[in-house]
Amino acid sequence: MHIQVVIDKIGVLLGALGMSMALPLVTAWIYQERAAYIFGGLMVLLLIISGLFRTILVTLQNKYTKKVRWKTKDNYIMITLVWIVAACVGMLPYLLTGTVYNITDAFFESMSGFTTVGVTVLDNVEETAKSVLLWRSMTHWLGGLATIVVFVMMISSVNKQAVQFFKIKGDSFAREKLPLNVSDGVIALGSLYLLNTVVIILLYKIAGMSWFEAINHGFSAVATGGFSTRTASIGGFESMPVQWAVIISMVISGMSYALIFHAWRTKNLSCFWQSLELKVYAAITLLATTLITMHILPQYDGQLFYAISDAAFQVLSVMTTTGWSAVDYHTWVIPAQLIIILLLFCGGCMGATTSGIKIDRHLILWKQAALELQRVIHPRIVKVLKINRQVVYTDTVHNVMTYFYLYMFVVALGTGVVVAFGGGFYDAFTTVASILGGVGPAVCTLTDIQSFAAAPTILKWLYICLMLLGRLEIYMVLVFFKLPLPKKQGKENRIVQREY
Amino acid sequence: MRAIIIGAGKIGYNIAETLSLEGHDVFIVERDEERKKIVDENLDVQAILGNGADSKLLESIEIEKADLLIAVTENDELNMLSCMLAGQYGVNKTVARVRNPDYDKDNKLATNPALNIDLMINPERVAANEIAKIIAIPEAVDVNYFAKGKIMMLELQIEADNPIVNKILRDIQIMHNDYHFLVAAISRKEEIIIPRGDDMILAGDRIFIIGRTDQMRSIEKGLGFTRKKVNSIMIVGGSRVAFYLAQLLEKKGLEVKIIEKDYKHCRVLATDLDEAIILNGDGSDIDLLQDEGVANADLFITLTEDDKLNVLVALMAKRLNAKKTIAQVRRSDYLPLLEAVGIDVTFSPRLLAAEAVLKFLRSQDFLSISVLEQGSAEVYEILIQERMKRLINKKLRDLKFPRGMLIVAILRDNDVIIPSGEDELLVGDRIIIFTVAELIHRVEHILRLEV
Repeated sequence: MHIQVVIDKIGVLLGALGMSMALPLVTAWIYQERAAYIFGGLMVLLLIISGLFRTILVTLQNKYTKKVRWKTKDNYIMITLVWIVAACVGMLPYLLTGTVYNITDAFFESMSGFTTVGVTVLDNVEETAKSVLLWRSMTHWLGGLATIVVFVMMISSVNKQAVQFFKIKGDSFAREKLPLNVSDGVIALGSLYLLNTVVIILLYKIAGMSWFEAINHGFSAVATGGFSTRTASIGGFESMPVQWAVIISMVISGMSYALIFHAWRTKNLSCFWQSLELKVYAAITLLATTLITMHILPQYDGQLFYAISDAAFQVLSVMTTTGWSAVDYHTWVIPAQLIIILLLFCGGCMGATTSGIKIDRHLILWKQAALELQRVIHPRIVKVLKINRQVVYTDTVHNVMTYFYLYMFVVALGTGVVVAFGGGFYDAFTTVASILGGVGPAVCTLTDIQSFAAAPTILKWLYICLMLLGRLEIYMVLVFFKLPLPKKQGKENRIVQREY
Repeated sequence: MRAIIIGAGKIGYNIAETLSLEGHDVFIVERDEERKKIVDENLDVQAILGNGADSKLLESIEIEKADLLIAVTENDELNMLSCMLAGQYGVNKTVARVRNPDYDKDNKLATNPALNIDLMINPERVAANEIAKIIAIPEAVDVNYFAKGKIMMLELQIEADNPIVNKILRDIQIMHNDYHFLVAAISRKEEIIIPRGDDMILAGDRIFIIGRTDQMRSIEKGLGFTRKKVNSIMIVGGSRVAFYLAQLLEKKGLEVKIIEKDYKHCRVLATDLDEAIILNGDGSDIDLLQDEGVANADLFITLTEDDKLNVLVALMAKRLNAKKTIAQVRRSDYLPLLEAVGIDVTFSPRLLAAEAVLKFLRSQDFLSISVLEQGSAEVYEILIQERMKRLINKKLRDLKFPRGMLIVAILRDNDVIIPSGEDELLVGDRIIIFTVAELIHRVEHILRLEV
């Protein structure tokens, strides 16, 4: 790690956060809220600090002309650092406006925003200042954008060494669909992200939301976050047009931006048909919706349309890791609930803002399983794992298998800890899985109301860790601690201390 | 005609032999002294030692007078360069052997006018296509199509238990009067017989039957052959032929297993093929063959680089109950012998390539040509034109074709006619002539005289 680079990137980050406070500032001004001073002040402060960092950087650069050698590993450390710093800055508005009263809650809310998980500590969302709510949605949007940027970075750095950890992110089937240059890729996918945001906001407005709610939910949907301006989430609207607008927006947001970009650049939609992960995404959605509809139809007195609407909404909400709810799915029959819980481990397509295990990884795991089965029948078989006719390299497969193991391990461990602190097993399991998977509020059953305000402080910190682990795909956080996977915990601290 | 052949390998040698027998002036350029010596000793052609892309050398054999240049060395790039050079001297027909799949098919090089290549031939791909044709009709030893696929000729092996054994042809024709077909030739003890009505079919013969493609299945049934669908195919050796073949078969949805010794090569195959099962192991390992179900294989094909291994493994597979075996053998002089030993079909990719080149060279005079039984017979498809006055409007029996040459089918206005001596030829007919090798020049002669 080089201090200059850290100062450079963090300076840029603070500047960007400062700039993005402009939107809540305008909102506060429109609704004449006291928070306007706080957002104004923060914005100025952040821009000044950012400028300060830049000045320091320039002086440093004049002093040390030596070329900085930036290792790929440093990228990962930087990415983790970016999320933590952003969450630290992001909690300030909550604290200063008095929305929450302690640092734990503020940091929880802020981290939940930036990691696009969407669980909240706010008991009564409707009474919160509008500018603060917008900032909350804004953190989702920024987190989603950062996810896209990281995705492009991973794809582009695939040729460099020391990236075995992330091969999956830059897998061959996604790579060739993008410009190889990082900045071009970021601009391309960033514009698509922006375009998607605008489209979704307009869609919501047409479906009947107010502009304020449309913008809030639009930011949240595009980042597959889960914050809502109503305590009862989308269910609070009690409107079918809104529900279907949200369903459509979730379908789009769960698709890979890289794939959409490829279709747009080649002016050819055939790549949608050829993409196996997209087909599986569609198949799982349809299958789960059909099965749930079948099970819940008696509960809806045979009203097919309402049953389908609610089923599709809940399925997509969990699959794309958005986490809104239109209905309390716990009132459904057990088989329908079970399907929702299975979907917690599914996730959307790689290259979208969704978290979780993701369909691409599942595909690789299934194909590998099929291959192992074939090896039992033909012991001498030589087979290369391919997806969309492109080779998936062995180290990628190993990476995915290890990821899956770690993911499940973290779920098990997290569940154990929550149970130890007095939670019921079922509640603990779904909560941990949904926070690690970035799904958020829809499936959390820890509390009756959809808020974590009542959770013990220590568990809130556990959840914060889970959010970060889930968003940064576990490995990245581990790299941050420079914890070589097989080593024991005791040694890790010493290494960290030596470095810093 | 003056022909220059670059490279005196198997293909070059074969083409040179055929062309010189047909009375053309053949020059053959070869880099290797030993090969040149073999050509000098065996063929009536002029062999020159040197590089085929050397313009001084080509000028010394008066390339500007040549009508044809065939570049068939092992080196793709050299072949292409030779053709390019020939273009500069105004040679109007060129053939290049190009084996690297990167250069053929979709590559724009194939159609680049600067390269001046009229025919790019890939021997391995030709071989794979031939095998795929046989797979479509597994009971046949060889399959040929004429008249845009409307007429079909099959080479069939007569086993001792076949109902038509020891019957004379006239009776067989009468027995199956409802379909039009003709036994065009019988291959007996490495000899081609153009049969008459009173010839008898013996066990161990191979017969060539010609008929309408859409009736062929019923004709075969009448003659005691059943067409079984090929489902599982086992290939030993992951050569290029195997790769092209597997690609073709995958598209048809057939189950393909390839056994290859070299692990790295297995990985390459596994990467380039989608469905085929690639097994890393020795093809001559009986346990492996049995474990992978050689007994259930409808077709067993040996395609390794080693002729002896191919023959051995194919025979072994036959012993292990593989239904049909095909072996690749490069030394073409063995071929007829091996089919007698019990391997169902043997082929040499280079010989097939030589045949393909010859077909191309003659395609100006003929609509199509098929070479049968390693060149001991050929089948021509000819369009009857007005200038062929001596053929038109005469009964076939009056044409006085020599024995060994036979008009086996006529396609007139989409109708397939299996002719008798009473039929006449009209302008616009497509006729199919079967001829033994010794009379090939006579066919051309007859056709030429009519001008």
